[in-house]
Amino acid sequence: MSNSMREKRYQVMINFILILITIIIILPFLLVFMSSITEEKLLVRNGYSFFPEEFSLYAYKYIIKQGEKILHAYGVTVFITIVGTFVNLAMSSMIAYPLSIRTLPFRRAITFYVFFTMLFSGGLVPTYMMYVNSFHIKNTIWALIVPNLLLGANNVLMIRSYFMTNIPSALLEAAKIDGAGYLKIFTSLVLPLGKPIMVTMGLFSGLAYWNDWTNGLYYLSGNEGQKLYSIQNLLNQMINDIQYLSSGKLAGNIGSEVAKLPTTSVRMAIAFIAMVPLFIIYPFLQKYFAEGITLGAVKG
Amino acid sequence: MKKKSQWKTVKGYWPLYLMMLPGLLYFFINNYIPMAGIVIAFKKVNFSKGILKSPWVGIKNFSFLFASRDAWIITRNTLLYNVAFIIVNMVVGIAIAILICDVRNSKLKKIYQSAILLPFLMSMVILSYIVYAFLSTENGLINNTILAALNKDPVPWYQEPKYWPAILIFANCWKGVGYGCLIYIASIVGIDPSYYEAARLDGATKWQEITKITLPALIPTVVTLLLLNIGRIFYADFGLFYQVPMNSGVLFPTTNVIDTYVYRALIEQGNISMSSAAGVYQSLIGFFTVLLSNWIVRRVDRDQALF
Amino acid sequence: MKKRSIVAIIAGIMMISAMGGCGGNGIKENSSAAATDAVDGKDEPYTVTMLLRGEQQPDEERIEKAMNKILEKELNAKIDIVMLPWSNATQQLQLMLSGDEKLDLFYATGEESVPYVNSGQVLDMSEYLDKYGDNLKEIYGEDVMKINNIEGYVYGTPVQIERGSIPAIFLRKDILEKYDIDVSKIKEPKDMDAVFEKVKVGEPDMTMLYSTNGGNLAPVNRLFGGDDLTDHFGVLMDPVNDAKVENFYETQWFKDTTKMLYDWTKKGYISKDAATNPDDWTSMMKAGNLFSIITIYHPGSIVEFESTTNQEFECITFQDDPVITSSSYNEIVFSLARNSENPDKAIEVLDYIYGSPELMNLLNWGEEGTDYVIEDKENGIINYPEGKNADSVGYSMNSGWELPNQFIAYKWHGSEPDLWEQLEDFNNNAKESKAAGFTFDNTEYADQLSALNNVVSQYGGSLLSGTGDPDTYISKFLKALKDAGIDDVIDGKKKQLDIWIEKQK
Repeated sequence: MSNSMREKRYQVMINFILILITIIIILPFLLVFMSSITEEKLLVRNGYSFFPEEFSLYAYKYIIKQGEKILHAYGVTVFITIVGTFVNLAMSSMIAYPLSIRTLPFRRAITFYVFFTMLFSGGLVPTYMMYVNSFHIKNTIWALIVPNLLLGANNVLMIRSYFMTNIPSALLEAAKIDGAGYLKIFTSLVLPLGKPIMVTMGLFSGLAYWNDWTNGLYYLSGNEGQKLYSIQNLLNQMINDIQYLSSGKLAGNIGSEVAKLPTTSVRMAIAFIAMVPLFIIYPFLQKYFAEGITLGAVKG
Repeated sequence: MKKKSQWKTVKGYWPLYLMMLPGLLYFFINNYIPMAGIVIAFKKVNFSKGILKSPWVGIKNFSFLFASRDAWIITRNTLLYNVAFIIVNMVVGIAIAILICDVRNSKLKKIYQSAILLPFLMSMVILSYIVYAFLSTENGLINNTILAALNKDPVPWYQEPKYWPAILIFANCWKGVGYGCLIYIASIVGIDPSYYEAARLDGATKWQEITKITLPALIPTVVTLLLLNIGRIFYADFGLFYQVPMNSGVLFPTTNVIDTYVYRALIEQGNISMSSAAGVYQSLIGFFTVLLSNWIVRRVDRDQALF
Repeated sequence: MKKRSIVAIIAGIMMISAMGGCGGNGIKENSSAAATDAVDGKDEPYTVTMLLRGEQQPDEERIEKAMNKILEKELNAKIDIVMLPWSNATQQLQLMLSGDEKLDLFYATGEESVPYVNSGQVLDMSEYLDKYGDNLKEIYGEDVMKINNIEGYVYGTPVQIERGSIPAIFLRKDILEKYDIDVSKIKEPKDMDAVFEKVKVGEPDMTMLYSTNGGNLAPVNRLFGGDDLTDHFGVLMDPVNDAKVENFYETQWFKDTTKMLYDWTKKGYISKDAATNPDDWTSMMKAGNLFSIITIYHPGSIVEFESTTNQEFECITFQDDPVITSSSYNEIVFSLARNSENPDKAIEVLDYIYGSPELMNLLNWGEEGTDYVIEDKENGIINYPEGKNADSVGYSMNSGWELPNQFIAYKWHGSEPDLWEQLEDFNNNAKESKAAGFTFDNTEYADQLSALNNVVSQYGGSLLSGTGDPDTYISKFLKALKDAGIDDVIDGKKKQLDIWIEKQK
């Protein structure tokens, strides 16, 4: 029938476009990977290429030597990501839900209170002074979890908007008439129906934690701080250390090790290592995402 | 009276207020207490005296932002780029979201959804190396492969300001479109499928389905995202405008924005009062812009406004 | 309405807590340490916290213990080394100096120091140096010990490194031999033209000369033999003989040099990507892609280059003697943080380190036997112990240049046996600029400098690297500089310099 033919053609067309877009997205990552396994000399002479003439795993070998530190850093990052994201989602939804109730007294004021935090900031120094001098979080794991990432107005307001638009008030009314309290409505109705947005915001919050390097930059120092390095901090430090080693400021002959340091390919390998765990984890997360999406589609 | 009844109903809503307490407390600690530090922008800070006792200098710390003839250029660039980013990311994000939602093959669907999130994993620094790999004059992939194939002369990309608005808009879209896109997908999924069934029974075309059902249903999300972005309209992504153009001076007419200007101005001076002043300046403009936008939205549809 | 009253309440609470939190008397992190310090310091040793930059050493605690054995006995003090990794160092230092954390000594470059002085983050060391600076007086003499000052406010003591520099060009030996090039013919940068031409013909893919768009390795900056008076805005072209402050970018020398470099770019000797290339020169050298680099020479440079690039170099200098410029004494200075709770003790310890080979060796190289063994006792050369190397040794900082007095410590394997003597001779033979020791106080010119820095970023890059055509860019550049207020800055410098020179007489 003509309808199903039109449908098929439509499917082919959109898949074609989307595959093109996927390729455009993946290309840079491919380039990063290819340059991390390219022989250093060629990289410097000819620039990056998708088809390197000569391969070399030296960059990865160099990094693997630091193996223990890297595993530890991954551990730290995973921990702060899980804890931080969980608390973030909890607090965000616990503010978003009340604010989505149009009859809540002082709703406008509280929303403004939340939103205002996105507009003005005291800046790094006052924030640092407060966290370090009054709360003593320097060189503790909290320094990586609490500042700035634990809750954001962005998440709160996006979730609120979703609750307001996609959860029919008729449903909530019905539940109230049945005698359910706000907490019960929240846990048994709103959260399940809000799964798509919760999963989405959780994803972004998790990514923010995974990619964050500024908290470590500001709040971790010296020997104790080193033990708490997230993977981003560690990799950042490795790159800087390598650059310093290559700069020649060190005295005398430190051995041909330095002369062999493949700075450019190591930079790319390091970047790749930071991303790899996420490539691996993502398919598992996909399950929850798909669940969330289909659950949202089945109303009532 | 209104006041009395509001407080009375508050009692009824007390579980809700309790729920909000931890989060609101966090905002107070993380955001509001340090906000007092804004006074740094109006003082000449001397740490031996402590911030409180340092002398006030009024708006003197702001003058460096307007002193040079670049002031107009960086303001114009910041604004124009942000407007372009908002529009482009919105259009592309919605388009991709609609396409993805219509894909029947669930395996492919998963792949696309994963793909649009990938760019978040790449830092601006690495992205700038990739862009350099494509655009470097002597070794770049574009100059050496595509242009060579078309028999054209190599272009010194990093020395021609006119190409960069397009390059930066594309780079920003590549990196950021996934955010809006995923949110749009979540919203589209929430649309009652019976609308679409009814429309199909009435013989609506695909295009009509999109314009009459999907897009209107997305309006609340779009408006919220828009209002959230407008508050940052005077801020620019430092990594994007500093790293990606490789800090090339020749490109400044089209790549210098407020954030990069401030960085370059202060990197050798380490003047905390001046950098604080720059932040206050950017925040103030964003603040008034968002107030205005919210007020407009409120006039049109009270429910959509942020507050 | 409701909104306003809530905002008012919030503002009130904010203010009150801000008073408590932000004042200079915030809860001190080290309250326990402060409590145990007796008033006269005789009962409990005071721990001096010293910030250094580099790789975190695994056995840092062991070294601190060893150093404390000496320090406790001699000075009733202890030391706590905090290592800031390169990636964090400047940012963390700025933050730590703004708060109340425990911090006594740290080092910074001269440029970084001026803002610290102006925002009250470092203490004036003069009186402490008078009291405790015996070793420093011996090494430098009273004048030089206090030379890093702004109107008498001493902000830091210099470390023992090369002073002054000589513009030079380093060429790859193997290429010179391959093309049979006679280096004795090369006296000025211009003479390189013929050399580049010859080599380029034989090595069409190789970059002849390294270039970048700013900073220490930009050819124009490196070839400049004058005194840049810190920021290149107003310089002394002939610093030994003349104290006239000129606009660097307006001089004939600038025009000629940029023309020469641009000529080389056109001929392909300098890479067209020089202004934007993120690769550093060592990568290019190691890859075999680079023939020469213009940089500064001092004793030990050749060994440094060769060890990091695995190539051999010939060095040709363009000047006979080094010139001690205004920044020669404050390239690296040790400063006293305002956070210090016992400045007397801190300076005592600092001065002691300046004069103690034991402490310097512990700091830089670790413990003898565990971290290094003496190879050549007469010349003080050391190396890794049997079976250990850079990755397995527990402590090896190897950054003598950032420590107070590397001249009294050991030298690493591969250094020339008389390296310290060479450096001391080098420093002693240097000619002094009329502005040596002068620090420009730039607080009044914050606005102009902000604009000027942007102008230099915009136009300077292509000119300093040689990739921009001087005929098109220089006039635009000069006009932009004038609009940004370079004349104000130059006048200001002139005035300050004249007053300073008068004071020295």
